[in-house]
Formats: sequence, structure tokens, C-alpha cells
Amino acid sequence: MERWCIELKTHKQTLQKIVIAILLTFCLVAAVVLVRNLAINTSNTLKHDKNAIEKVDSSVQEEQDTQDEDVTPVSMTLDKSKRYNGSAEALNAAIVPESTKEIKGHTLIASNDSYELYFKEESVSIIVRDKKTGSIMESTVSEDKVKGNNSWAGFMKSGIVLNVIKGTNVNPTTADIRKAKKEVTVTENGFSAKVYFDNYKVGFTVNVELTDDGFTAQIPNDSIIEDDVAQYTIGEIYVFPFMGYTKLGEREGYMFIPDGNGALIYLEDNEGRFVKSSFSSYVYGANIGIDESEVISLLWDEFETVNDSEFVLAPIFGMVHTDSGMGYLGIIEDGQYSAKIEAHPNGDYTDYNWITSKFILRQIYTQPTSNTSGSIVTLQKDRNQFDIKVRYCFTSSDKANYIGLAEKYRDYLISNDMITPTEDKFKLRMDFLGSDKEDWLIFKNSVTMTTVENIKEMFKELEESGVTDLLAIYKGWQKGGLYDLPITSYKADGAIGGTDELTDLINDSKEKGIDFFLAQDALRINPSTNNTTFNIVKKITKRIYSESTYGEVYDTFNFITPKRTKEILKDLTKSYKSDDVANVMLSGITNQIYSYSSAGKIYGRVDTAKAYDEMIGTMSKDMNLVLDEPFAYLWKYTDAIVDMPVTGSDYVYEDESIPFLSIVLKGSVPMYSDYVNFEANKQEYFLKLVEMGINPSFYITYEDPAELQNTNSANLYTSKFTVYKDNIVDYYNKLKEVNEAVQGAKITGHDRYDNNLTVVTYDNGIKIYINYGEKPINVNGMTIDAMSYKVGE
Amino acid sequence: MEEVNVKKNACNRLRMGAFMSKKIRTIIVSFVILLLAGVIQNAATTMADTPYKTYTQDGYGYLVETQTAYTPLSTITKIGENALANASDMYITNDNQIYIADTGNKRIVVADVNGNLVKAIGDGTLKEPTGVYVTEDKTVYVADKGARKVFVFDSNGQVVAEYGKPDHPLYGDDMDFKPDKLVVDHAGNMYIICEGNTNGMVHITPTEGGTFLGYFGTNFTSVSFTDVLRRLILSDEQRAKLASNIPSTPNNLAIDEKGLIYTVTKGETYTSLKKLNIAGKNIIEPTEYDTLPAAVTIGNYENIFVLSDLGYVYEYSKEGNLLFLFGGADDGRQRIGLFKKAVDIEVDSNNNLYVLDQEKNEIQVFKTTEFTDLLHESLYLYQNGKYTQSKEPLKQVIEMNSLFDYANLAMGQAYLQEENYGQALKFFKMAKDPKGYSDSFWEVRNIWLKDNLVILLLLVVVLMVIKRLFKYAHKKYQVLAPVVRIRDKIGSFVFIKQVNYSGYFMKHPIDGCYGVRRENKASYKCANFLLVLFMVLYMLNKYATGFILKTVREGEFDIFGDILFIIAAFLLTTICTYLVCTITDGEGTFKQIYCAFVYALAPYIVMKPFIVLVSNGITYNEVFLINFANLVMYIWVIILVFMAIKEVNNYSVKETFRTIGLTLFTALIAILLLFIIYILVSQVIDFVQAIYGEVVYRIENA
Repeated sequence: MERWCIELKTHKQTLQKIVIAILLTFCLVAAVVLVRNLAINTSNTLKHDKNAIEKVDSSVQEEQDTQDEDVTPVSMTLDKSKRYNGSAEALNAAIVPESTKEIKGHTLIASNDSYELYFKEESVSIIVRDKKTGSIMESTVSEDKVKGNNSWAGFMKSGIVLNVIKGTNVNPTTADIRKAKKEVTVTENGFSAKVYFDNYKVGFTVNVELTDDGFTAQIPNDSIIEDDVAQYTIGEIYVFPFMGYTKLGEREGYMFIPDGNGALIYLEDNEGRFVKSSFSSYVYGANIGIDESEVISLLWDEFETVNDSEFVLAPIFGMVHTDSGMGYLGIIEDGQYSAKIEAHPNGDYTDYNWITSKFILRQIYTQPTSNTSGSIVTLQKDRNQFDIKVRYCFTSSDKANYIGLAEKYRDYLISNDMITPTEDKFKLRMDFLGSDKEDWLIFKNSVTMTTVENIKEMFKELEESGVTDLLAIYKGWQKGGLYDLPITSYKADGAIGGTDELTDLINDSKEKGIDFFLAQDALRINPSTNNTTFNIVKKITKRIYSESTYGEVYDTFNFITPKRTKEILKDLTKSYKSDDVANVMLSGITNQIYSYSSAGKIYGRVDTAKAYDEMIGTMSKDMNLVLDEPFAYLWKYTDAIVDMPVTGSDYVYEDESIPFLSIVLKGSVPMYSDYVNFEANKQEYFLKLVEMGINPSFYITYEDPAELQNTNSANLYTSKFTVYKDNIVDYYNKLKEVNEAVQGAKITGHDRYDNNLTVVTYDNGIKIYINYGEKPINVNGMTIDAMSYKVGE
Repeated sequence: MEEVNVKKNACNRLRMGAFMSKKIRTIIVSFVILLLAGVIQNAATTMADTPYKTYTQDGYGYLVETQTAYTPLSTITKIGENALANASDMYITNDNQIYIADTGNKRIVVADVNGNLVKAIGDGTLKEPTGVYVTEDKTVYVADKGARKVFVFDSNGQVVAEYGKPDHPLYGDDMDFKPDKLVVDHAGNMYIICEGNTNGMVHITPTEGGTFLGYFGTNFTSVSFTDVLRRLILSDEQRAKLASNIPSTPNNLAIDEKGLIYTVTKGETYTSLKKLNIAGKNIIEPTEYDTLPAAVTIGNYENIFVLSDLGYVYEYSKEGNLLFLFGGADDGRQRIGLFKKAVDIEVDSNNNLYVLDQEKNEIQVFKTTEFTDLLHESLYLYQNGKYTQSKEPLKQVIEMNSLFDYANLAMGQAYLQEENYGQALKFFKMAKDPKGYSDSFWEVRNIWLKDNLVILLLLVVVLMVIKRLFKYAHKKYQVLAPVVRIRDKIGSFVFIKQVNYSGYFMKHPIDGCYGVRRENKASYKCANFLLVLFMVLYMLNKYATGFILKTVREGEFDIFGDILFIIAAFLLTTICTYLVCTITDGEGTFKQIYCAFVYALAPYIVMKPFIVLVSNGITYNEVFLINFANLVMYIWVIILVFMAIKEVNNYSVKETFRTIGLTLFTALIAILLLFIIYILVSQVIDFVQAIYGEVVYRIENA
């Protein structure tokens, strides 16, 4: 009953409407029930009493959805929601209706219009309270008895957790902040706590400040103290790891992880299914300079059968409590280059669901001492130097969902100039493969797939079919073919027609309004075609890093050092400009950052990222750049994002994959998908593109790709233009129509229904209905056929 | 009414749309939304991208990547309210009910495809059920390893029969009866795999309460060369310690509509998957195999699925061509569609795949993609004799992946059935299928011969007449005198003479060797020229032989490797022979031996061009011609080499044999020596590098 009262209070203004709506609903439902033969499983009925109270919680429009019993809007699949019951008790504990001096041992220290910050010195933990709804989120486990050993208890009870490395011991020790010395200064909007661990002789200062929509936590680089480096060093720092944690399935909501386009982990009781399985991923991809590649089993010791998991493209994570209407988006503002996002569903060591950012200061690695065997475990000598700053943006009530989080991030990006909104115009992307090499007798033979002439012809054919808005990317145009890397000057391969012809094509395309880009991998160097004695990336073990291609002609590639890349790009820009080439598609350096050693010095990921940021920034002043699946820190330089993932990595603990980044970027930066060619489920993929507002991409060759069988591009097994022409025209016409309806608009709603209907709402009032099911659905007077879509209002 | 509220509630609590401001419109929309679809799919989040790659096999047997064949659809983690415990087998009936041998819970659970509990069978009766089979009338057969019995339940779950250890002299008194897996044919005959029973599957018929009919489909042992060596060398005690050479027990089995039984056995190679006819004879040889198969099942198009212990799923056509290979081991990657311990695979009537993971205690369901559906459709059409119709889906498959050689092969077969031999030839060549190519080439050649035989014969006659005329004219009027003069002039060059001498050498080896030794009929220059010629022909043979006899991949060249190989092999034999000859009173010099050896290759140089040429115009029916010609050629070369050694060194036959033996031995030692030197050098290099690395490390960390 207590719960009931709270709900009434919070929804006073809508109460009347609700009552009317309920009556209406019941009348209609009764009618339907009478008419229909009840064949539906009634097992859920038993749960009614328990859940009835929550009905009032639902807002008006949701009530109306029950007009038809079959329409059940969910964001989760039905089988999951069945065992998805939060407890009212836990929810009550998470709502503090009135402002108080103290919550669970935390005292109120700061407050603004929307939020209150409570602080507990012993554990340097905080509680954030939403003034409007009274919902709170805690940063440490408040239960007194926690399962697990002392180390875990210390972890869960500490606001900031340090993993201290003892010597070169591979297993770090968790430092319990309750046993540390603390000096706390309460500031105007928060506090500053100076923490020092006597037993490990390490320390740091954390500054927390309440902001309009949440708070920021900051650990300045120069506040980090390591007094006894020989014995104790800081390996990793967790910032408020348990912020907004929940226990088992007691609460309702989900954790948002930035896996690919975005994914959710529901806050449900996993019943121990996920022992030792958690999401732990580097922001901006793994570090090839220090981490050993995973030990993996290969098929017949030869074939890699597992696809790489998706990158974490943006330094964000989130936690949403849908029952209490509170959620936050964590944005790592500083230190993102050396950070990991971790999400632990319950069952993984603890009974809690928690998500956090983790910062890596030092790593232990294996230094080989000989070619075949022999190695020593070594501690990274110099600490990675960077400030740590995490911004927590909270959302409330009806915005406490992933749409709300995505909107927060969109606003954040735009207000901080981290994306350059460009004209949102639909374009179909076509990548062409120029030429590649195959071994032939003594020399390497050029296998020409698409010449400049061919492209002109294809453009003409497409124009005749009405396909005019194109983004074309030419790969393998350079002298020596696709894998003659790096490209150091604007010189086209003779086999595709030569430089003059190519320039001619570029000018032609400009006149036709086709965006024609030259592809350039600025990261890789091919040791078979170029001198790799100098300027290639060595891991911090001083061993040359080489990337296996598993290809027929070239086995391995190396990486060029950022310094050399900068020189190359500078010269190239000049070379391009002298021939009036203005459009370049950069890849390689757009989604790879690493530590490396050069001339006796170790460079960290921060250095690499800064170098890339600078050189791409410089280049973008003179050229139009399109970046290949770029990391968030480069988004401001790109005209479009190509190879945008449409899914997550399908981790077992992921419950749903959501178009998070699409919602963030749609309407601001055009996105282009992976190649449609290689999709086995063409229709489903097409619907995905409609849903996500991502433009389609095709990888096209003029010749039959079977000829590539003996080249490094042998994995290109389907790309012939004549085969794909109809497809291209079809995709173009359909998607153009959809995109014109929502041109420049932003996504404001994304709902999945259990009958396989997905509805995407844009801020210009357009709704797109996508039916992934095998039967047609009637909506709003429209019939959406099976595996089809409709644009409506 | 209540139920509606609950359902609505359960879902609405999590509704995330930002609709507050647009309540009214949403109300209208919601009013109008009318749902026709009744099917509720478990996973709304199936994606086109999968964590695993999918491979197929090209005609050469190489794995090539292809479109995803199956995508994860859902995961069944619980049956009703209970999780599975150590489940080890399952069976899916035609109406898509899953019967699971829930070993740890000592029962058989029956579930629908969404994991809802239908019923449980055998609670209290079963001890350790490890195998389950369900007949069309829903009679359930359970292999219970713990109870050492096979139980038969009727569709109501009542025990109607049980079979214990057969009381039959042929079964073997000492042999235990621990049924592990079983299948049942239309007549109710059981084929049971028993743990530890290496005689084969136990074949029991239900008559007279269970009659043992004998063992079926016994695996054979193989004796390897090392085994033979061991038996020769080792003492009895030592031999006893070796693993005894007994046939392996099959690991799993399946039965198809026709009553053919499929078994998989670990540790076997190409016979790890067997398709056994009524007589227990294997009638399939798959193009690819897994050494650790865990389970086998038959799909709706007689396609065969094999599941590997390591989590790979193989799909074969009924002839044993590998269509798809996907999946993999979890290895801590925690991604859907990878397995920890995969134990069983089944297919339902919608072609969905079910894989049971014993360690995760869950069933992963996969769904076919549009690509796979196309392929299955063509399989179905082809099998029903609708060759022409099967071409349409096949064409689409090839368009989506032109390297999908099974589709090329099927296309070739379809064209062959249609008697469109030209097209068939083209597709068989793309599919790298020599047999199909040979068959269609036979027809194509037939047609060509039919059309052109007369002209061809005429041409031959005309040519012969012309030749005769010239001969006659020359005799009478010396019309060819200038040609003859040029020929004689060219022939008078020493070099040309020496080259021509090889022709004489091959016909008269004894005289030939004498010429090489005494009459200076050979030179390095000439021998080198001939060796180069040999190399060219060697490569011609390797790369230009007709399609059906070619041993290397089309378009694959390794010229450097070939040249190096020939030079190394030739030098090694020549040098070794020379060395041996010098210490065994041989009279030949190095030059003589070298030249004689090169001349001994003359038959190869003369005959090979013709063989290569002919090989391009024959089918498997005439392949003996080539084989015979090759045989003659090689024997001739061997004889010449033998004669060369004998004559150049002036040996007796016995001495020659001894020299050849010694030469071979010397060559072996030489290779060994080179190998040892290589290892030593690389060790030294490694040592130096290690010291360097260590020093650098110490200095930096000092």
C-alpha cells in the first residue's frame, strides 16, 4: 500500500485520465474477450495480485495499448519478461520521497534544482537522489552482509577501487578504501577527497561535483601518488564501480553497454548462468602493442572460425532503473584512451549487476628473451599518464530509458562540438575494387577488377535507372594494387587506367554530383612491396608487430608509426591537392590505437590517439574526409561514418541489441552499413537498415570476383556489378523514400513489440513501422506485410 | 480480463518510449493497432552478423568463407521451471516436440520448441538415461546406461517393454550391456551403441521379448607401418604395454526414412562418418571429416549434420559433399553460437538446428538464412528429378557466392541431365570436379567427332598425299634441296650434334655411354640445355596437363620452387653418385656422369610433350593410355640411368646395384647433415638474439 500511495502522489495530475482510461480499457477488453475464444495461456493470471498495484504506475498511453489484448509493447522478449519480476520491497528502498539529511549513512552535501548528492566519508561513496521522483542510486553496496571473500567485500564497499600490483605479481590486490587515510574538503557543489593507503604507499585525490544533470568524478593525473614503486604500483582504478548497482532480479531495468551499435543486459536474476562471464572491453579496441592476442582454438589448427567482436566505438556506458524511473549515462571525458568498460551481470562473482569504467595505469606483460622460448614477466615501467574524468548524466521518469540516454549523448556531442552536423541526405555507398595482385610465374600479376572506364559505365547505367545520389569509394586504385601499402603519392595503377584517367573520373563525378572518394589505409605497410626497416610499430616488448592476413599472396602487414604516418599524410595532401583531389576515405588509423616503442621510448595509447587526432584534424582542413568505422574522438572530422555496425557482438549475457549509436547520430552524421553483399539474410538486413537509419553499402567489381581466387582478396566471393545492379536500384529507391521522409530529423522513439513489430519515431512526427515477423500486421489502418515496412505518421 | 492486465503490466513496466508529450496521438495509434500475428518468436534480436564464420569447401577441398548459413535464433536454458542436468541426448519428432535425455535428473523431458514443458517420462524408472529415440507413433525408447537396460514407453509414459543384456552366445558372456545411444527402424528393430562394446551396434528385434540378431556396422582396425615395426622390434612385455589395437565404438548414430543408419566414430578419419546400408556396409565417403564427432543427424533433404566435440557443425549433402561448416569452441569468449561441450544435434521440420550443450546445460537453436533456404530448395528439387527447376535457386546461390563449388557441381549435374553438355562442362570445371568434367567432355567430344570426323580424315589423307608428293618431287627434281642443305648445316654445329646425340643415346645406351666417355659427344653446355628443357617440360607437365589429370590448383604457380627442387635433386644425385664412384673404382669423371644422367632423361623430353598434349583431349575412359605411356617413359629413364652408371664407370651389374644403393644412402646422409647444420645455425642465431635481448633488457631496467 505504501507503494500505491507514492504512485498516486507522483501521478496526481494524470489520475483522472487514468481512471477513465482504465474503465475504457476494461470495457473494450471485456468485449474482445467475449468475442474471442480464449486460447491463450492463463498461467500469468496468478501473478495478477502482485502486479496489479503497479498498473497505476503506467502512464496513460500505455493503458490504451490494452485496447487489444494482443498488443503488448515491450522492449524485451516475452519469454524473458515472464521471469522478470522486480520486488516492490527493493523498489521502495530505492525511492526516498522526501529530501532528508541522511540516506544510508550518507549525508547531504550538495543540491541543485534536480539532484541531491549524499556522501559517506568512510567509503568515499555517494548517493544521487532525483528530487522530482525521489529515486536514488548508490555507488557502494549498502547491505551489511555481502557474499564473497574479504577482497570482494572491500571492493563492493569502496567508492573508488584501486587494483594494486605487488612487484610483478600477476594477480593484483584490491585496496579497501575504508582502511585508507582520507582528507575530505566539502566544496560548493561536491567534495574533494584525498586518499592515501599507508600499507601500499599509494594515493590519489578524487573530486566530485554535482552538475545540472548529474555529477562528474575526477582524478587528476598529478594527484596520483606511488611512493614505493619498487613494491607497490597502481594497476587499475575503478571509478564508482557499483554506481546504480542492483541485486539479482530485485529491480527492473538494464545496463547499457557500448558493444557495436549498442546492447542491453537486463537486470534479471540469471540464476547463476553467467559464472565468470562479463563484458570487459577496451574503449576504442584492444591494445595490440601490449596485449597478447587471445589464445584461441583454430579449426584444424588452421582456420579462425570466430569473427572478431565489435569495437567499443564511444566511451560511454549506462544503467537504467525503469521501475523507479532513473537512469544515467556515463561518459568518460578524460582517460578514455586507457579505459575499459566493464559490465557484470549477477552470477559473475557477485549477486549484483554493476557497470563501470576502469582505467589502466600499468600493465604486466611477458617480455620474450629469445625467439623460440624464454620470457620474463615484466611490469610496465612508466605509468600511463592521463587525467581521469567521468561524467554521469542522469535521466528521469519517462526519459529513463535508452532513448533518453542516447539523447543525452547526442546533446553532449553537439554542445561540445564533438560531431559536425552535416546535411542529412540519402546516399547509397558503392565501394569499387580496382586491382589486386596474384602470384604468377616469377612475378606478381595484376588482377584488374574494376577500371576507371568500368566505373564510368556503371555510373551511366545507374543514372539511367535513376540512381544518382551515390557515395563511391575506390579501393585498390593505387599503383601496385590494393595491398601495395602505404600510399605515398597520388599515382594510380596503370591497369585501372592511370592517373590522368582517374583524375578525369573524379572531375566527372563531381559534375554529376557523385561523392567520389579514394580509399587509403594509412596504418598498414606491406613488407613485400615496401621497405620496412624503419618506422614500423614495435610492441612495447620491442618486437615488431605483424598482422596476419591469412592471404594467398602477402602473409603479413606491419603498422607504420604515427610519426611516419603524419609525414606521409602531409605529403599526400599536397600531392592530392596538386591534382585537385579533395575526397579521401581514411581507414586503419581511424579505428586502431596502441602502445608502441620507438627509439628506446615507450608511447602509450594516449600518445597514439593524440597524434592521430592531430594529423586527421590537419588533413580535414584541406580535404573532405570520410572515416572508416571511426572511434568517437574522430567523429568531429568525418563527413560520414562508413562500416557502421548494426548489431553488438552477440555475447551470451546480452539480452537485446539496440540501435544506440544510430539514435545518437541519425540526422547529424550520415552512417553507412557494412557491405550488403555478404549478408545471408538480405531482407532482414534491409529492414535493419530501415530501422536504424543507416545507408546501404555495396562492394562492387566489374569483373567476376572468382578471378580474385588467388589474391589476398579471395574472401571477396560475390561482388559482380551485373549481379547486384537490380539490388542497388531496388535498395536505392526504397531507402531513399524512407530517408526523405525523415530527412534531418532525429529519432525520439524506438519500440519493439512482441509480435515482431518495431516502431521508430522521429521528431518530425514520422513513424516507421517495421515488421520482422512472418505474418502481416495491421497498424494505424495500414497493413504491414511480413518482413516489410511502412512509413506513417 | 485479469490476464490481459497482467500481460500488459509485465510489459509496460519496461516501456521506454518517450511518449508523454504525445499522449493523445499515441492513444489513437494504440487504438488502431490491431495485431494479426499470433506467433510469438522467442528472440526478437536475431541478427545478420554472427559471432562465428561460415565456411564451405571448394572443389579442391580448400575451405572458403561463405555467407552465414545459420543464425542463432534462441537459447533454451530451462524446460518449464527446471534447468537441464548433464543432458546427453535429444530427439525431435515431426510435430516439433523435443525429447531430451535429462541424464542428471534421471528422466526424459518433453518440451516444445520454445522450451515449455510438455511432460516428463520415466521419473523413478530411469537411472542414467543417455539415449532417446521416438518412433512415429510416439513410442519412446530410452537407453539407460545406469540400469543397463533399454526401456520402451508408450505415448502415455507407461513402460511397455524393457530389454536387458541379450542372452545369446554370440553376444559374449563377458561383455557388459551398457546402452548409450540407440535408434529404431520402422519394424521396431533397435540398433544400440553400448559403452565399451567394440563389436559394433547391438541389433535387437522385439520378437519374443527381445531377440539378439547380431552385431551391426562393426568398425575395423587399421595396422599402421609403425605398428608393424613395433611388433617386429618390441619384446612381449613391451608390446603388452602398448594400447591394444581394438576397433573403436561408434559415438553416436542416426537413422533416416529409408532405414539407413549413420554412425560417427571418434578417432577415425574419412570413415568417422559412415552411412550404412542394410548389410552394414559403408556407402559414403565425405569430402571432409572431423576427428572428434559427437553426434550425427539427418535433415529434411537427406542432408547430414555432424556435430564435433569442439562445437563445429558440419552440413553435408547426401553424397557427402561438405556444404557448410560453422560454429566453434567458446574458449571464454562468451558469445552466442559457440559451445563448451556440444553433445547432440537435431533438426526440426522447419530446418531449424538444435544443438545440446552438456556443460552449459542449454539448447541453442539456429535458423536457416535466406541463402541456405535457396540451397536447400535446389537440393530438394534436384533430388526429385526436377533438374531444370533446380537451376533457378542454384543460379541465385552462385550469384551470391561464385566460389560455392557445390552449387557449381549441382549446376553441372543439372545440365548433364538436361544433355546440355557444353554448359555442364563449364560448371564442372568451375566446380573442379574431374569426374563430371570427364563425363561431359566425352559427350562434347563425341558430338564434335560426329560433326568433324569426315573432315578430319580428309585432312589426314590430304596431308599424307602432300607428303608423298613432296617426297616424290624431291627424289625426282631435288625440290627440297635448299631445305636439306639448311638442315645439314644446322646439324653440323657441334652443339646441335650433341643435342641430337641424346636421341641416339636413348636408343643405344651402351654405345651412347661410350660416346660420352670416349668420343666427347657431350658437353656441359649441351647437358645444361637439356636440363633446362627438362625443367620446362616438367613444369609443362605440372601446369598444362589436361583438367582431369592435373594435380595442382588451376592458376597456382610455384615456378621458383620447381626449379629449385629439380636443380637440388639433380645435383644431389649426381654429386653423390660421383662421390660413391670415386671410392668404388668408378672410371667416370663428374662431367661424364652429369652428362650421362641428363641424356638419360631423354625419353622424358621426347615423350612428355605428346603425353601432355594427349592428356588435354581424353576422358577417364582413355586415361590408361596416359598411364601406360608414363609407365613406359619412366621405366625407360630408369634403365638409361642404370646403364649410364654401369657403362660410364665400367661396372659389372652387381657393382652397379651396389653403387646405386650406396648413392641413395649417401644422399640420405647428406640431407641429414644439411638438416643438422641448419638446426645448429638457427640455434646459434637464437642464442645470440637471446643474449642481445637479455642485455638490452638489463641495461634498460638497470
